[in-house]
Amino acid sequence: MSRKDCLRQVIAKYLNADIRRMVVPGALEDVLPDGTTLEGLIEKRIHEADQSFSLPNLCEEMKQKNPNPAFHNELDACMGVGMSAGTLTGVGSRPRWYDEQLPMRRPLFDRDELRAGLYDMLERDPVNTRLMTVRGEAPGKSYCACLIKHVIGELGLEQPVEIDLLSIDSVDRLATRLIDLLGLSHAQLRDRFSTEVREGKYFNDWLVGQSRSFAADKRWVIVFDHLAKTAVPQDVANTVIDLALRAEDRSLTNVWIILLDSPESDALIDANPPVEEVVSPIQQATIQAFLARLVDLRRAAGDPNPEVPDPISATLQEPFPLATNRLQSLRRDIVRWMRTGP
Amino acid sequence: MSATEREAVHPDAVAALKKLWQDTAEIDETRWAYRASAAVLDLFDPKSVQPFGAQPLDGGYPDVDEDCEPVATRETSLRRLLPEIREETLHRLGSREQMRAALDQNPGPRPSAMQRMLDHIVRGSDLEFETLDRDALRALLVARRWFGSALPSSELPNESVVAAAFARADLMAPWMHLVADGFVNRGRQLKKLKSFIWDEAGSRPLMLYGIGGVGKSTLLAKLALDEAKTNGKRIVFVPIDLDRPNLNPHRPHTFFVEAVQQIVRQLPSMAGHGASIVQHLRELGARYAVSDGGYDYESSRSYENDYEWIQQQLIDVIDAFFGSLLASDADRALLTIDTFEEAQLEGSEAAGLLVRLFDALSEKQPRVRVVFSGRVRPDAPGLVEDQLLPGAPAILLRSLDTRSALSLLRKQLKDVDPKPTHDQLGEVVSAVGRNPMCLKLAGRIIQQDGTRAFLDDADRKKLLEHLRAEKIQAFLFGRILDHFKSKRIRPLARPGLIVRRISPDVIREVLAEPCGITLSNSLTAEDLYDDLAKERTMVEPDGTHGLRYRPDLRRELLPDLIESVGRETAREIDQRAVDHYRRFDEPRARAEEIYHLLRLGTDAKLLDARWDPRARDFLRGSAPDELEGAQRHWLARKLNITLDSASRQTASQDDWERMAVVRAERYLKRGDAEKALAALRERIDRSPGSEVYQLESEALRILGDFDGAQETALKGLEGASDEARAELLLKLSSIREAENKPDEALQFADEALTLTEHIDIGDDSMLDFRALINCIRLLRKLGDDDKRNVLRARALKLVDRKRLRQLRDFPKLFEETAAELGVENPAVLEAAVRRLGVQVRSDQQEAALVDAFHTIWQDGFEQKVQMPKALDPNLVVKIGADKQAAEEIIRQSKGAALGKFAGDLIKVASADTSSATRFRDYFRESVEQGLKRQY
Repeated sequence: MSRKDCLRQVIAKYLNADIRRMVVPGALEDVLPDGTTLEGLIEKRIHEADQSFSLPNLCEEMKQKNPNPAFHNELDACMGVGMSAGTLTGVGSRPRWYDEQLPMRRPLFDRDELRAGLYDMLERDPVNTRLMTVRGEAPGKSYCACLIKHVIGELGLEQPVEIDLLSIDSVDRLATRLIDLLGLSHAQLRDRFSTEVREGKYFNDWLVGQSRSFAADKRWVIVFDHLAKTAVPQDVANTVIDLALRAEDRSLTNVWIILLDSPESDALIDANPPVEEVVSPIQQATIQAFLARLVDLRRAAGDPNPEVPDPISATLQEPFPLATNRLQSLRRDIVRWMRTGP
Repeated sequence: MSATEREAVHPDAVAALKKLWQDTAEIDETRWAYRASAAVLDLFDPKSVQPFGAQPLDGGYPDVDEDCEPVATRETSLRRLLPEIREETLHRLGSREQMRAALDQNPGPRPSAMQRMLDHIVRGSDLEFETLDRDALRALLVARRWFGSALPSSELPNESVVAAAFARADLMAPWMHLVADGFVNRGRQLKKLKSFIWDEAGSRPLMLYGIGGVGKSTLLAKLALDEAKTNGKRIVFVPIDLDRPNLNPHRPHTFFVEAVQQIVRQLPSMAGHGASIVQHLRELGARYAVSDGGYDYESSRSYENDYEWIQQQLIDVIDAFFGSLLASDADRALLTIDTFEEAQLEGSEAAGLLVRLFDALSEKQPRVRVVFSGRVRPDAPGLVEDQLLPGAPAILLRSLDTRSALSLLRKQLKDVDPKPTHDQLGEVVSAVGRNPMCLKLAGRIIQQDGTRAFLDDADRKKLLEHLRAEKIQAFLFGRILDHFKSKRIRPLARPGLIVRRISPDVIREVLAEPCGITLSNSLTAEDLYDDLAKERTMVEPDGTHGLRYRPDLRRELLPDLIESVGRETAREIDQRAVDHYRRFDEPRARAEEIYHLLRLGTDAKLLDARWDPRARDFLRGSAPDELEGAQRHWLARKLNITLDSASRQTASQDDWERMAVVRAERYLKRGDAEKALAALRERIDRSPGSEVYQLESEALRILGDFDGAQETALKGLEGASDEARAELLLKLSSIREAENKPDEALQFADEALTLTEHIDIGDDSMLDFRALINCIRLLRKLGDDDKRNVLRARALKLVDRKRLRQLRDFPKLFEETAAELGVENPAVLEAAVRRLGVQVRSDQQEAALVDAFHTIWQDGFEQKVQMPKALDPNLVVKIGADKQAAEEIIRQSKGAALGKFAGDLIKVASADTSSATRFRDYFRESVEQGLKRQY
C-alpha cells in the first residue's frame, strides 16, 4: 500500500462525527466551497501535498488541528515515523523506507548521512535540498544507487535518470543522453547546436530553459555516477559540475541532482551542498550487526538453519577494511544467501 | 549482541523475505550463456548474438532489457550489457581462456575503440599506450575496471599508466581542436614564448594580451603541442581557464588546487603528495571568509596578520609541490592562465592577488613559467594600481600580417569549390582586415554562400565595394549580420542588436516596429526566431527558451551600431524592452529591464525600486562597460565590482561610499589594512550612518590604533541602522576585549545581542549568533557561569546541520563556536577541524594540539580512521601511549593537512569528553591569540 493510500485510510477511519467536529471547525470549515464534500477536499489536499512532496507537512498540519493522540499515532504509523521495528535497523526519525537494509534486494550497510540526505531531498526539505554528493575513497559509492531507487519507488515517483559517466566520452554524448532520458526534443537541441555540443555551459543554459517547461507535478532526480573517475573527460566533468551548481542554486526547475562518486571539487565545496555523504570504509562490526539481524529475520521466516554460511564467516575474518573486490564478493555472497530460502 | 537485545523483527520484513525466496528464480544457464558472450562485446545485436556454451534461442537474447541498455546508433537495435552484470559475468567466467572462447563465439569486425580494447584485454596482447588516441585510452580505462575482479591486476594494463596517458590525451584534445580550426604563422611570438620557457634564467609571469579573436588561446595551444613533442626535456603543462566552474578569482587557492590536480592527472606518481597538498590548500582556503555579505563576521580575526599568513602559507605549500615536481619529474612547468580578463573584471584586488601569488611562485621556482592571457593590457586598470608586474615580459598579439591572413583564409576555404584565387582572397583580406576571428567568420560566410559571387563581376564588385567602404571591425560583424541566410531576419541584427536577448515575444513586442518588420500570418515572430536560431556565428542559446547575441561580438559592434541606426531608434527599442520585461517577475527578465532602464539613463531611485538581487548574475560581464556616469556607478555598486579611479572621482557621495566599502573589504580580506584605509580616505566626508565608518574602524583596529578605531565606531553609531549599530557594537566589544577589558566588552556585546533580538535580520544572517557567541566567551572570562549556561543552551539549540553549513563560510566564527560549544556538541569540533584543518602558529597552539592528539588516541583507532598519507603510521599508533610521538607528529607536519584525520578521530571518540575538551582548548587558544593579535 502506498503512503498516500495509507493516509487516506487513516483519515477515512477517523472521519466520524468526532473527527468532523475536530477537523472541520478548526481547519476546513471556512474554506469549504459549496457542494464540496469534506472527503473530496481532503483528497484534494492529499493530492496537492503529494505533488509538492509535503505529505509530512500536511500530516503535521492535521495534527495541530486535531489533538487526538490516537489520530497522531496512526498518522505517524502511516508515514513510517517511529516504525523502526519494521526494519532491520531503523532510526525512528524518518519514514522507514529510508532505513531499508535490503533496498532493491541488496544489502546496504550503514550510510546514515545518505539516508538522512535522501529524506531531506525527497520529502523533508526538497525546496532547499537540490544537490547531494556522495564521495570518499572507500568503495560502495555507486552501490548507493540501490537505496535511491528503492526510496523513489516507495514514494511512487518517476524513476531516477541515471547516467554512468564512464559511458560518456564527450559533452555531445552527455547532452544526447540527457535529452533522451528527460524526454526532450532532439530537434530543438539540433536547432541550437547545429553540429555537436562542444560548450557544456551553453548546453546547460539551454537545459535550464527547457526545465521551465517541465510539468510541475513531475520531479526529475538525475543521478550521475563516477564523476570522480579519471576516465571521465575534463570537459564532461566540468559540464556536470556546472549543471549540479545550477540545480543547487535552483536555476534548474524541478530537477534534483545526486552525484555518486563525486570529486572533491572546489566549486562543489564552495556551493556547500546541503547533503554530503562521505563514504567511509565498511567496518567489520557493521556487517556483523547486519548479519545478526538477517539471521533473526531468517529464523522468523521459518529457516531451520539460519546461521551465517561459512564462506561469509570466513570473509569476515579477513582484515578490514576490505578491498573493493573482496567487498563486492562478500556482497554477492550475502545476496545469494539472502535470496536462497530453506 | 544477542537476539533478545536486538529490535523485534517486523512481520512486514519477514513477509518481504519470504516473497524474495519465492520470486528469486536462478538465472538459467542459457541466459548466462548470452551474458557471457555479451560481456566481452562492446555492442551486440540481441537477435543475432551467439551465446557462449549453449544453443541460441529463436528469439535471441532472453529478457535482454533487464540486462542491457539500448545504445543510440544508426543500428538502433544494438545493446550494451549493464556494467554491473558485465562485471559479475566476467567474474563468473573466471579465466582468460573462457573469456577468449566467449569472444571467439562472435567473431566479426571490431569497429569501436571499446571493442578493440576488450579484444586486447581478453587476448592478453601487448599495447603501446603511446600509440593510442584519447578515445582508445578512455575505453581501455573503462574496460580495465570491468575486468578488475575477474583477472589478476598483474595481467591487466597498469591502471595508473593508462590513466596518465589518457589525462595527457584529454589535456591535448582542446588544443588540437583549436589548432585544427586554423593556425598560421605566429613564428616570432612562438619563438619568444619558447625562449621564455627554456631560458635558463627565471622569469616573472608573461602577459599575453590582445583583442578578442586575435588568437591568444590558439597560440598557447600551438605552443603546447609543439613543446609536447620536444625530446629530451620534459615539460608539464597546466592550462587554467577562468571559464571553469572550479575557479574563483576571489578564492586564489582554487587556482593552485586546479594546478595540482592537473599535474597529478598527468603524473600519477605525484598523487600521494598531491592529495596532501590539495587538502592543505583547501584548509588554508577555508580560512578566507567566503560570503560577500560583510567584513566583520569575526571578532577574533586579525585581518592583516591572518591573511598575510594564509597567503604566505599558500605560496609555501605550492612551492613545495612544484619543488618536488621539478626535482624529479619535469624540467619545466608551464602554467597558462587564460581568459584572465574575467578576473580583471572583478576588480584590481582580485586580479592583483592572483598575479602576486603566481609571481611569488615563479620567483621561488625559477623553472616554473606563468603566462597570463587576456584581452586587457597589463597596465590597464586592474593591474596598474598595484604596479604588480613592472618590467615583466609581455607579448601584444596583433592581427595577422597579410601573408598569414591569406594563408589562414586559404585553409578555411580549402574545400570550397571553385577555389578562390589568390587575388580574390587578397581582396577579401583587404576588405575585412587581418583579425583571425574576423577571417574565420568571413571564411564561414564564403563557405556558406560559395565563391560564385567572385565569378560575377557585378556581384563581386558589389561585395568588395561594401567591404572596402567600411573597414572598421564592426563592419565585419555587420557583414555577418547581413549575410544571414535568411534575408528577412537582417533587420533583427540592425538595429535589433540593441537588445541582448531575443525570443519570439521580444521580436513581436520590442523589435518588429522599430526594425520595420511587418508580421503577418505568413511571417510570424516564431518564423523569424527560428531562422535566427540557426545563425550560430551570432547567437547562442540562453536559459529562457531564447537566444542571446554572442556577447563578444555584440560588445565590438554596439557603439558603431548606435551611431548608424540613430539614437532615437535606440531609445525606442530600449523603452519598448523596458515595457516588455516589466510584466515578468523573474530574475532574467528583471535583469533585462534594468539593463534597458540603465541605457535610458534612469535615475537611481527608480532603479533601486526595480532592483532584484537575483538579477545580478545576468548583469555581470560586459554590461557595466557599456554604460557611463551615474548608471555605471549604480550597476557597479549592485554587482559589487569596483571601478577605476577616474570613475570613482566622478561618482556621487553615495556611490563612492559603496565602492569604497567594497574595495576596503576586499583589501581587508587580502590582509592589507593600510590600503583599505587609503581607499576609505580618498574622501573625507561621510554620510550619516555610512558603512564607511565600520570599515574604517576595523582598519584602524587592525593597525593597532584602538583609540582611533573606537572614536570612528562611536561616530558611526550616530544615524546608523539597527543592523549597522549591532555591527559597530560588536566591533567596540572586540576592541575592549583585545584591550583585556572583558566587562566593558560584555556591555557592548550584550547591547548588540539585545538589539539583534528585536530586529529582523533575515534567515541567513549570522549577526545574532555572533553576538551570542561573543557574550558566551566574555561571560566565561568573567566567570559568570549561570548566565553563560543559559546563553550556551540557547546557542546549542541553534547549532543544527544548516548552521554548521553556514559556519563553513565564516571561518573565525566557526573557531569561536567550536571554542565555546565544542565539548557539549563535538559535531561542531569535528566539522570545524575538517573544514579549517589545524594550524600551528605558536607554541601554545602546538602544545594544545599535542595534548589533544595524545589524549584522543585509543587502541584500535587505526582500524577506524583513515591514516594520513603524509605521516608515518607506526608513529601515529603510538601517540596515545607516548606523548613524544604526538609531539613528533605535530612538529613534522605543523598541522598541515591533518584536518580530515583530526575530524575522523573526533568522530570515533565522540563520547570521550576529555579529548573533546583538549580540541576545544586548541580552538580557544587560537581565538585568544587572534583577539590579541598575537600571531
